[in-house]
Amino acid sequence: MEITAVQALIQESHILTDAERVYWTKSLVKMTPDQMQKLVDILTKAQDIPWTKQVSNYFNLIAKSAKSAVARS
Amino acid sequence: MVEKKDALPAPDERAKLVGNIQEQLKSLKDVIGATSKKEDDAGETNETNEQAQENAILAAANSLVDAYKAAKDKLGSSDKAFDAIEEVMETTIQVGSEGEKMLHALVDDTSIRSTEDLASLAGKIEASHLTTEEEVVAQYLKNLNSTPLEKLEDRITKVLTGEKAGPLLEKLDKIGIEPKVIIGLLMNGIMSYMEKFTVLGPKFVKMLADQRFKQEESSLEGEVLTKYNANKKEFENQWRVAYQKWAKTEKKRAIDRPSLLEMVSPTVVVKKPEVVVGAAEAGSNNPILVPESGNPVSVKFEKGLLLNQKALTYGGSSFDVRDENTLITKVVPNTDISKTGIVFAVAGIEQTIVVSALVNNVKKVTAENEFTIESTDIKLKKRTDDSSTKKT
Repeated sequence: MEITAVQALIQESHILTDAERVYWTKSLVKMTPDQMQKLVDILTKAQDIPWTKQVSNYFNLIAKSAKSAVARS
Repeated sequence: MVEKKDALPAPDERAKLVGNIQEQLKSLKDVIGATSKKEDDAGETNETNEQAQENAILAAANSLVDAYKAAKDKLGSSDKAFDAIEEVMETTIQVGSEGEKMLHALVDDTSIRSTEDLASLAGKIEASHLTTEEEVVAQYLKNLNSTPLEKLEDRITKVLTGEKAGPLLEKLDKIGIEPKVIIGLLMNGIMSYMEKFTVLGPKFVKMLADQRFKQEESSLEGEVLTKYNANKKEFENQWRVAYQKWAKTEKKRAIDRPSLLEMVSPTVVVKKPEVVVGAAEAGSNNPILVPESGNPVSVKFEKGLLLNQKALTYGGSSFDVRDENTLITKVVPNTDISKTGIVFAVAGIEQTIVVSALVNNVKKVTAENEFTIESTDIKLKKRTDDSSTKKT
């Protein structure tokens, strides 16, 4: 994977905080191809962790409640 | 949150609005349940989980902004609008099984393993003749590891300040709200949502306590913050013990949730009354706050409420209500929309108690031993009799 693609993956990952994003972006230059692949694997796998979907459900719920409250008030 | 400084709306208007929202959401609950089920049944869409989450966050924030705008137009002030929205979020969004799934999902094995894997990878990259792999792993977990809720907050922040949030940010700018206010509303809603469960395991309690504590800590400022910093560890322990105790209660009412501010400085805190007042039931023996001359605000207290004492008590402290220097400076909305905060200035320091049943246009009662509110500055008049010290 291209380094820019890995950088994008780091920036987009929702399991990383800003501090972690800085850490991993800076670390890229020190990493071997194997280590970089390992990082990609971890971040890709984390894209499908269950809370992603559950949190989406919650926000959908909030959106619907708020919309309805506005529409009917 | 925005500073509360607007006058209260007429109680009937306020009650109507709250009732309206509650009624709407009550009927909405079934609709939401049905819609969620339909969506689940529909199966996967082309959106990735991340895109779906990002869109959901943006949609929720947009709807909250619209709700805020509509509430503000009706209620006339930012604070009242926020109060109404928070009330709705805290009391009506309850979809037990979905919420429980989210709670478990937030601390699931995959998330935990991801962090452990990252720490382990860091160990392999950073280890040198000066630092062992184990030391790097420990350092990573200590310095970079965050709770799932912190990660979630980070995610929400990123989405709401990112590229796709352009139109939302413009909308917020137009109505004068900072994104952090909406982020705070969303996080508060999520935590309330999860705190609702009757039984919370220790790991959930810890996660929620960590996030709530962070929120409580960031609300401290000025002298209170200095006092807190002087005895930080002790205050934190005290708050955490109280939170754990609260988390074990069945109802876990938001209003009863421990307040760090109250622990650090009981004298500047909004405090709940010991008695909930029904103005209509107030009898002739009750102390009553009434406007002396054309002031639209008046408050009735049931017999034996806090004011029916020599001293007004709140947060474990008290001050003498007969002191001529004790002034009620303003009446403010409370998080619990059915109650009202009365702010007193005692020796120049503002202190607030919360009472219920704020009513308008109560006729002046001329019985003895009354507390009287005078003019727009609302002065707490000296009592003529101090024999009444009972408390219900």
